[in-house]
Amino acid sequence: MFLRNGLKSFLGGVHPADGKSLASGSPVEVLPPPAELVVPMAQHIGKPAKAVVKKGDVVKKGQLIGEASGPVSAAVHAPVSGSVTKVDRIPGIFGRHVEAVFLANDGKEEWHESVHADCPDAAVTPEEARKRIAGAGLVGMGGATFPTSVKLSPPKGKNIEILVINGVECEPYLTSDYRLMIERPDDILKGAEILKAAVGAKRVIIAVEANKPDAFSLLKGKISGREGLEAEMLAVRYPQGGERQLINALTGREVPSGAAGTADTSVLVHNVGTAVAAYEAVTFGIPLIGRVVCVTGEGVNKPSNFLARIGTPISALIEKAGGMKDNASRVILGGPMMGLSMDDLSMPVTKGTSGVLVLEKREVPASGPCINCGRCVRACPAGLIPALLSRVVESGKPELATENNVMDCIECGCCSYVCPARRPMVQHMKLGKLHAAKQKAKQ
Amino acid sequence: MGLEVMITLGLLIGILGIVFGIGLAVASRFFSVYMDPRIETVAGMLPGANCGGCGKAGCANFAEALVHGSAEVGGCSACGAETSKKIASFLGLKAPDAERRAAVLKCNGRSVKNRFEYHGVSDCVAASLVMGGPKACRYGCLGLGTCVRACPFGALEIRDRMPFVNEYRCVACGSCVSACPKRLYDIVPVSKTVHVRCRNLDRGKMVKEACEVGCIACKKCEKACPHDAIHVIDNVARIDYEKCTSCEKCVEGCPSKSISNDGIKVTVRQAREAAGVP
Amino acid sequence: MNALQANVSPHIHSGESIRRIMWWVVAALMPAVVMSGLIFGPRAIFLITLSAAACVATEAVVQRLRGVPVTALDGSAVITGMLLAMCIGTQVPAYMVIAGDIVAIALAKQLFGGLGMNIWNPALVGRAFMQIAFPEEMNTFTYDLNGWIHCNTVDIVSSPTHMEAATVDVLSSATPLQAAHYQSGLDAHVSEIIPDLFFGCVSGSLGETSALALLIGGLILIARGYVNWRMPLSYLASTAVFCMILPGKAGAIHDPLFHLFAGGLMLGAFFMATDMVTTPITNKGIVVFGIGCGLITSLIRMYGGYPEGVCFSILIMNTATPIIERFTRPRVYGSAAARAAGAVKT
Repeated sequence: MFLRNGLKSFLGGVHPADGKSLASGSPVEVLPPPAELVVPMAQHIGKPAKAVVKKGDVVKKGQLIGEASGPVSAAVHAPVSGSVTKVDRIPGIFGRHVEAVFLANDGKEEWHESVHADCPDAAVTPEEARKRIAGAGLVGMGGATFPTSVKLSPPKGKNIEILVINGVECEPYLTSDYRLMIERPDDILKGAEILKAAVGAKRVIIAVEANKPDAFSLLKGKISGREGLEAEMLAVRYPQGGERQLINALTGREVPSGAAGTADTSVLVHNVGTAVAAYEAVTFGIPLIGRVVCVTGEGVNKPSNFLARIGTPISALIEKAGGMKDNASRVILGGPMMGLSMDDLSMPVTKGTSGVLVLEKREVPASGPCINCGRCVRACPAGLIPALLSRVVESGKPELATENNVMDCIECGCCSYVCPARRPMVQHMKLGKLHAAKQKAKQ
Repeated sequence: MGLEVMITLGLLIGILGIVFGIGLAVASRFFSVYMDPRIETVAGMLPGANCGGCGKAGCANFAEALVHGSAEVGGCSACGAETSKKIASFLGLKAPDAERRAAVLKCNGRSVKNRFEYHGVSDCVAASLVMGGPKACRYGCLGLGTCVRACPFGALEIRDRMPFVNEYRCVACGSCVSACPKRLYDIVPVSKTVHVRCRNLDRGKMVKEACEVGCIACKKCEKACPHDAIHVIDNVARIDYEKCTSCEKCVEGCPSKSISNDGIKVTVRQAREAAGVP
Repeated sequence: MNALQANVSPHIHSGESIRRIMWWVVAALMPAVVMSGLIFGPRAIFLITLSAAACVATEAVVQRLRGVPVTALDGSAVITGMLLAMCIGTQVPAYMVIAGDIVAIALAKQLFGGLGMNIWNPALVGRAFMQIAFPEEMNTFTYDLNGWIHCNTVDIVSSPTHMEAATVDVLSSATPLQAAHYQSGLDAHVSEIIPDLFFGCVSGSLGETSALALLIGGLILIARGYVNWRMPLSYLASTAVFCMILPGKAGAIHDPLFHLFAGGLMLGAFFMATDMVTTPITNKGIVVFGIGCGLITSLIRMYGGYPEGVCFSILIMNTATPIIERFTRPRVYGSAAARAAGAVKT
């Protein structure tokens, strides 16, 4: 824990111009589902789901079309009612091809019988809640897309004491979590209670950064007088929404280096979007078939927030947001610090698409030599020496990066952001991590 | 300086010498590890490039395995036939009779357009982190030379935007095979001169859009082949080198020119001629 | 629509660049340059400009010879040239300055691979070279009696034999540190000369006499975030402390203000020890570096053969930079927790 301007925060990080005012004023608009949807089977970290439908099958909205295929995997459901036109491979965002189900929307919006949107279940046991969350294919909706059900079952002997509902949204530009907090605070709190019970936590802390004071005071007002619910305003600092940094900011604890989850700190972090999805899944049986996507950036004419179905092409969102400006030439899935560049606008919205960022063309100056200025060292929230790691990878000695803890890098991008020599540090880190993972696999 | 001082000094140095000598003798007796002298000899015969193609940690490690009988001389692809024979006769082992092999790049798309402007580290693995790399063909060579840097024998170079295999230098160690993020290299006997230079698994129409010389899976080669050695599997033609006789019937039959031998490698013969080696 | 651009995250940048940092340092040196012009006359400005130009030219030529992109105008060569000229006296002939510049850029910087690769501060290597190659010229300092500023300190520190020369224009005069080193009796006047030292109207090197001007420039850089405040603070504070507590040779001056404002300490602490390339990257390392510089400077001043130790102290600590970095790494997030949880496999 570290106090910054009297507010809790973590050591390191950066504070870029946040650009949130572009879209923060636009209420979430429901985007009608398109005639044709492409639903990838790999929308989460872990093994891809296995398609259980084939060409010609008729599906209803919310019907299972891909089942979880291992301990770390997530189910996929039909976002609309209609028929399967084909099951084929499409290029994925990481360059690898992934299996996807192509759906023709019949426009009837018929719910599958497992969904009971009209009659909410009042009380659900924690076991049943966990089962329903797994069945609904929930994943972390902040962008990390780790299957929620796995997070809800901590390893034996580890108890979760605090559940953190993450409304930090530290990535510049993005406003989808902010809109959710403003528009659906009650659902977030209901979801938080469900997750709290599901994991047996004693306290819930709702974390919001100081640049969203209205969302904070709204949530703070709603929880006043309620036992076990707290709200904490944090200093504005990127990457505070990262699990490790958030836990450190709130409790001063540190997730052990190399640990798979956060259970060692007795803290569990879930995004506000995940809380809403958990509420819908447990109370109404609605699987994860849509999400709030923020379409923003200087390159788009009318920055907006949409409630879009999974499988909607990105181009439809951009079109609905007024289209791209003439000088726009960068489309990014996610925020500007960690988002992934994309070139194919027919790619679909997935469970982890928190935003579509359209930026203007920029001239990228050639990267220069490292001048050892130390900005990256001071910005690194993981306590690494990015300059050193970048240099050893560049000079073809990735094994030295492994020795210097490259695996603790969270790829937040702070080092590249501050580097005056414009070195592609994150890319070097990724290469170093790839090498380390390869070596580990060899052993 | 007195004589006395000199004598004292001489004595002192003498005593020190004796003490250290005894120490060394004791150490060599009690801390010595027996090392088969053959290991060093064999290691001296090996190419010494430490390419790791044999799966061992380096040439010395492989030599040890050879002497202990846990590896075969043929395990070293970097040894030429002569060296293999020499090592085999030294250790009383069977000389491998495998044919010389070399790496082949299974892509010929040197004029493939870019899908986007790529900015970043000039390396194939690094570029493939961004949407699989900028090339319109998602399966093809990125041309940024990761394999060239990985080759310990200098057998690869970038010529006209693509890597170029010098078969004379290539020892089939496999460094390029594991370095290429697109897995475009195969190790093939040098006598086989016909190769399908495409790994694109997409359907014909998409391939055509991305690359002029990509395999469109038309199966004309299957029909042209008199030896049943070429088959289209997963939308791309593949040659069974066991059956292939390099008769080039399929080359003539291929409408997209993806089965071609032009300009991708120096054959052993060409390279020898160029180097003035008979 | 344009052709799409794509790269690995992040997709935004702080906008900082090496060029901007370097030219800001040049700007921050300007107060000291102006002061040196006021104190030592136009020749001071001439030497500083000449030196900067010679460095840029050397860099361009060597980069062309090396076959690497020519980046001579990125500001770093200009800084080297200015700093080198600022730590020599006015009477040093122009060809010596150019020789120093060539050594600084060609030998100390480009031979190691250019910006970012050098081990030692190029300007200081150039100065050290000149110190050894031209000892006579480097150790005599003159004072322009027709300069715009004239103070009494010159009279105090100058040897009496020169005093009859009041009719000449240029007076050969010892610097305060030389006076403290070679003459006796200066300690009686220390409190009198401190205001002059701070303002800068004493004999000495071109750019290092005015502590005030250097302080202004240094504070600009700290405010801009181009200088890590830990470096000047630890260097200055440790020099003051060590000069106070070390016994020194007979007649040594212990006044901390004298040691802070005299000689090249201010220039060294704000502009040379803060050269990022040749100093540690971590905050802890910077403090260690600063204290090391302070200690060595004090030792040379109090005991050494030279009156001033800033140049050599920084060069010695530059050499120690890799080892300092090795032992002052930041704590890796979660490493302690991992040890506690026993999750780390060694």
